[in-house]
Amino acid sequence: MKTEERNKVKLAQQGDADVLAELIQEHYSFLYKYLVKVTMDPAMAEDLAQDTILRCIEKIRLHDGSSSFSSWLMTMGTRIYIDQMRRKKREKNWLFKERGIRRIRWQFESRNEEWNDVLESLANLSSEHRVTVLLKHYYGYTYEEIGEMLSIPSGTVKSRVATGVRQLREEMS
Amino acid sequence: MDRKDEKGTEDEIFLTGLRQSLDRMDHILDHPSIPSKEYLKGHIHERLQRRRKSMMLELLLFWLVSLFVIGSGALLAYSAPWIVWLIQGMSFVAAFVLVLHFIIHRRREDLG
Repeated sequence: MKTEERNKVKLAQQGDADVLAELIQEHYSFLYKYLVKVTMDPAMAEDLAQDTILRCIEKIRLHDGSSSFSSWLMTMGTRIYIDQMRRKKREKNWLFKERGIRRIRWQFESRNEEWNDVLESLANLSSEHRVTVLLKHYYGYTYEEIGEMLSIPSGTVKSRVATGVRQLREEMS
Repeated sequence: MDRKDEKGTEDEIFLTGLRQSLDRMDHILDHPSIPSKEYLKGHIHERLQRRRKSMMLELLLFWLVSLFVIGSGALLAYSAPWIVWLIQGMSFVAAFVLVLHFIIHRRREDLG
């Protein structure tokens, strides 16, 4: 974590609302973009980003500085998403999934951009595989770091990433 | 190039494509409406106040329960017959002797 960011986090932990608001504002866009990739649903990503911010305000004192502020936000956002998935079993409801992908496709089409097969296959992956593939191959975290973020063994992460990539490639071919 | 290397290269090409597609998605999708600093500050203050209130309530409840337990104990102690005091005293002495015995025993073992 950068020194400037570490100082800001420290001040926020001491109760400086100004600094905490600044930190959240700086990282909001990054968090939202991450959550869109994870959920493949802009509306759901916005709800999740807000839930993550609320949790961040409540738990800022527990941030131990072992990871960057953005990684900490990503961890909380991912855990909230996984919890919601488990509780609501949303993924089984294909309507939710379809609605999310349709929203993204509509934005692509409105800008005359082509929606490609790679994104389609990524959207069709299960959430647990999609999260691990994204964290490993897009954000560049190690298997151990992802394991800590998701509270699962690094071996499980490795197998999920491999399965995810294999499924993506199979769907493409 | 053997099959393993070939597969690794194919995977890398595929993953590069995936990264590019995701970058493109970032540019195309509408930017989120980032909450203003004032809104966030208001929200933080509200949350902190709510938390402080709940902590105060918890502390108050803790004291109330403690008072109840202490009060009940005192009431029980003052209204208890002499035999209860005798049992309490004997238990205390027995516990003290046992603890002392174990400490001496452990010290002897350590020295031996």
